[in-house]
Amino acid sequence: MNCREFKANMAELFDKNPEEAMITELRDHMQQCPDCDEEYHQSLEMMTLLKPEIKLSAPSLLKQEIINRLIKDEAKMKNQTTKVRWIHSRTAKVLSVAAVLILAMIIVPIAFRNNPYLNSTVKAADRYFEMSKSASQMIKSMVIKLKVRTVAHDNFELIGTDYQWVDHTITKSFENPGKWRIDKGERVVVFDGVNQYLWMPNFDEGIKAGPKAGFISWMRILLDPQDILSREQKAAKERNSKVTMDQNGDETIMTITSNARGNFINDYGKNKTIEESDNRREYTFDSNTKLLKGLKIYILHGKKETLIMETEHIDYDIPVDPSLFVINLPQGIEWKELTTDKYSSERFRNITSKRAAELFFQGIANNDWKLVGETCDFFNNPSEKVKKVKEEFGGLTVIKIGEPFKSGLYRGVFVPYEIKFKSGKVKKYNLAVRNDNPNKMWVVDGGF
Amino acid sequence: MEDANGRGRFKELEKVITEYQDQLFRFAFFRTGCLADSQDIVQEVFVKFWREQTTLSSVRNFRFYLFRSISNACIDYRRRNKRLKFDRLEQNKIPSGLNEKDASENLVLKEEYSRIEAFLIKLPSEQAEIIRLRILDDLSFPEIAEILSIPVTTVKSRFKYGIDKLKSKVFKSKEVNYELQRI
Repeated sequence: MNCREFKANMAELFDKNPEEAMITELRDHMQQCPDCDEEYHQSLEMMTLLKPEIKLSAPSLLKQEIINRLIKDEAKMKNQTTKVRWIHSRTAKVLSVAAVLILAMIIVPIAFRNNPYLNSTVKAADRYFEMSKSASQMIKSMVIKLKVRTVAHDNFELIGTDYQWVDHTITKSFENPGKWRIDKGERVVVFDGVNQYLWMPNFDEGIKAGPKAGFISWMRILLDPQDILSREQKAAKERNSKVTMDQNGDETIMTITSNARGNFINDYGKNKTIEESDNRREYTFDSNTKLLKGLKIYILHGKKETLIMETEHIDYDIPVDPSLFVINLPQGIEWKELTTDKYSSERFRNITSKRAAELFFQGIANNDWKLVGETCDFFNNPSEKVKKVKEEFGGLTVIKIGEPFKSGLYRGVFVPYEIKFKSGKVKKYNLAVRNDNPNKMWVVDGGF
Repeated sequence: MEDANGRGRFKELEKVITEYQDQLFRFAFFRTGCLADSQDIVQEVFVKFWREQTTLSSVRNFRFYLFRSISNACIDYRRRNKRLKFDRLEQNKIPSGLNEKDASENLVLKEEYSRIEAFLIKLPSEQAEIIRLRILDDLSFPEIAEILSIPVTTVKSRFKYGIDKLKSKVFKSKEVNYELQRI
């Protein structure tokens, strides 16, 4: 091989699976020719300069996001043909005109509104809703007693088929401004017409937030009975829901069967909230007054169904004590403002969710409550109850931090972990972390 | 067996994603310099891949198919990006900071991208792309030839010319610097 041939074939030395015979010839030539040897080494050096010095991998959630997108796309396609089923009952002949009109409104595409016949049908349905709304607007107050399978000291959206019944009371005043209160075992939320207040007596913690705070999640629909019909009808259109109407004496029963919403590649979040479960909601309305009389919600799993929520009675226009809409905190405790400004820790920015979980547990293991408090505001509470939690958790040993995953509708991710307490007890669970705040800082949301 | 959400149907796709997502993501990043856009591009490629295949077994060569798709997607991205830059300059007089968001999120990666691009920008695009495919994407010359639908000999010669050109610039400047130091 001469120098010209070497230069013409030198690229072979940089291929992945080069031809052995050619490589031998090229190397033999380099040993005899310092110029070509120099040429090769300069090329090699150049290639090294072009090689990335860091290893770049795809984001850990990319696969889940792709599958989620495909599932969502398919669901969207199905939604375009919302199913509406009509159940004929023995009393079908006396079904209220209103129920017919509601169904008509559900199935009549807006595009057909120019049709004079359909147009009049839709108008009649609208009139029914207006009547229902007017009836609700006449009421001054409402008290709903209901029971939910949940955990008394946990958040309002949590449900579980294995949980015990927890009594709830919803009190609403429709005076201007509207005010409401929901008592749930060991949590209370009050809206005083301006702000929402969440009081958690078991942690001596009170949180104040704006009028749209999500403290009560799905229960919000019950606060505005005049909107239930229209909201559910709208939801049925948007999702793959099945709606049936039935008339039973003076009662109109609307049943909505919905599929769980969210990403369930990992089904950890399945059936933990109403929205994240396959469920059936049975609303009972008084056919005469158009007011809500009751609600039952069932979780559907396979052929089995479990009653998860049931109203016991609903009273309208009974006297309501105005002091219910004010929570007086115990001495020494103040309302904490729920704002996103506090999420400013540099240590929890520009890192992965897994790393954030590692830091969180590292802080607890080292009793570094400043570090822990930067990502989880709960630990900044000076109360005795939080001190006890710190005593229990402090000094723990981290056995394992797993790979993060998404599940359900949660906007953050879940990071699996296994820890060992000082007492020797081992806990395996999933830490909920999210960074959907303006600073994109990881915040520990729960799961410990 | 499929679960309630029909996830079982995606099992095969999940395997393909697991195998190729890192390579494709790197590929997209070193063409766009933007992590978020790279993620979108890879996602689009897999979604399209799924939609176009009734069964994944009908694809003869996943690797070839996916690299070709991501290559085309990145070319489209660059075209769109050029238009975007033009529009923004015309309308708002603000240069399009395509990578601003990611740069702030991950400065190290951005710097690495810029460092490598600073070399490749000196080359004709077809030579730069062969070098990217070989060095950054770790593809062999025959694989590059298949993806770009050009002869292997053309791939090798473009690679050689590209490397030679860079060598002449880099090592020449090194010598100059060395001389300056001596002075």
